Amino acid sequence: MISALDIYLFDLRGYLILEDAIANDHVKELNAILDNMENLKPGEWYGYVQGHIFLTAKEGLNLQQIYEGGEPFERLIDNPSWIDHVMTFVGGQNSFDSHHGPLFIDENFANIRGPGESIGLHGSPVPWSKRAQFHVQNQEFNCGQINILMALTDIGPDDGPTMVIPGSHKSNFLNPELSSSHIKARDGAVDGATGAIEVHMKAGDALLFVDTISHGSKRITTGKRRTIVYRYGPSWGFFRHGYRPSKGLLDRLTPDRRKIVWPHHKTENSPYLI
Amino acid sequence: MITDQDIFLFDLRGYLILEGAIDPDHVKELNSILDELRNLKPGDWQGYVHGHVFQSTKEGINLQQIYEGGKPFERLIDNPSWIDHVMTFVGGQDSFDSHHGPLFIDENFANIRGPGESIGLHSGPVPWVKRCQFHVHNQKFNCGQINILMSLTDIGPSDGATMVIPGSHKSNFRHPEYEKSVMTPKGASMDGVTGAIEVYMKKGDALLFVDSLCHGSARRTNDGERRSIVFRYGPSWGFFRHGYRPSKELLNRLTPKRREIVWPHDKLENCPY
Repeated sequence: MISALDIYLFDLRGYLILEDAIANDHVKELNAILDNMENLKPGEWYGYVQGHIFLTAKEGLNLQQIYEGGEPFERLIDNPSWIDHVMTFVGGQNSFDSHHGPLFIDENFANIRGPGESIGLHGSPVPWSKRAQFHVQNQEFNCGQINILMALTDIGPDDGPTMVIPGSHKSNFLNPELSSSHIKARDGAVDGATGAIEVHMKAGDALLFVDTISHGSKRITTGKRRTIVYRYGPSWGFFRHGYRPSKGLLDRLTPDRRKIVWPHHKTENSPYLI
Repeated sequence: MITDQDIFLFDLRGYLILEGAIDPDHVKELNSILDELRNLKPGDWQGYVHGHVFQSTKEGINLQQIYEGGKPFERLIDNPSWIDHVMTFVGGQDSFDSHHGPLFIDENFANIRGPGESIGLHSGPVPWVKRCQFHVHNQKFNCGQINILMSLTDIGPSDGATMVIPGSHKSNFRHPEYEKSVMTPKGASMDGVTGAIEVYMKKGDALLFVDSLCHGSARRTNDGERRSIVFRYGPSWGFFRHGYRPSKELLNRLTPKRREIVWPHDKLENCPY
């Protein structure tokens, strides 16, 4: 249930921490499945889950389309701990934006990172991106993308915590430290970036943030960090990468989850092959 | 080529008229093909073109996916008369919005309307719609949807002209007359709505407008037909408004630049789907 304080703090900072968003037993189920996938290489498939990296192997391994990984991942699609927040912050539920359904998940992946690994600073409203935008109009949110980052391990100071720059979702000027020279100097991590804070989480917590907030992570010193990210946007969006949900997944999903995962049915009796 | 005056007036009013955007020979080619398609009924297919109405047959007939209708329609996809304007006003060419390509056409159709037909008032930024939004940030446009409405017949008084409410793309309040003139299954028109104007066009002209501008049409009283084509452009990560897909044949015919706009959503290679 979303509170007035959630609304105030999300508008102010660009993120919220949702403690205990996933029950302990559920976290165990998710980790047990990831134990079978953690040696996947980029480009390889495990069923309908694909190994992937964004730019460099120093970011750890992504397991894309992780909602294909089994029912414990499907349960995350409309998890009651965040779904009301997501729908409120994406907004458009009373407009043409929800023509196809309430939301669309344009990317979903697990990330497994070890010592020395991290992801560099990225995200900013300068230059403006409609997809990532933070927007409020007439006291209603209309953000382009709300991310839910779920911790499956405790993430403290040495565990490569996610870092954000609070309030940067409303920046009018480009952060000088987003220049290529600064990014190179920090070598793929956010350690030491001015204005950035570490977000420490317990296993089962979720970090909700608008994609345009500047974010990244600290470099891991010890241990392994496991997270899952689901990225929610308006129903008329499409996949960030060239994925599609499998038929098996769509057949398994509840109607509410199916509406979020695949709101793009073809017209009946249409002659298309693609 | 977009001018400072175009930028100023589009920001001010929410629309622009691009005169002579399609040359007369091209207009003739488009009309000849429409002559073959004009009797399509809602729900029928002719090739990959689909007969359609939004809410009421009193809006005339829409021929959806009209870019499937032949090469003359394909040439409209990146027509030099408007493509720079569209890219400037949709914006995002320097951001994640162009991750898949410069633009995406989420809907494209021809409309044929006769006497007594019209489309009611619709759109506006209240409530806010990301898909239709008008937005400027740091002196750059970032609109959600830019429509190009091309006239294939002269459209003057009594021809059922498109009507717009200039400046309404920036409204903070809903028009109090909205419910009286809004699109409905029974049919409606924008005739008499306070603040609305008729947009007169010669065949070959194009009306460019941001979708959140309040718009609709006057009811046609003259005999004959009003013919127009609408292409709706948005960011590359959007998807079809209706459940359409481009045909394989179309994709094989298109130039690389046109293909980027029509289908920026290829599946991953070697995927098991």
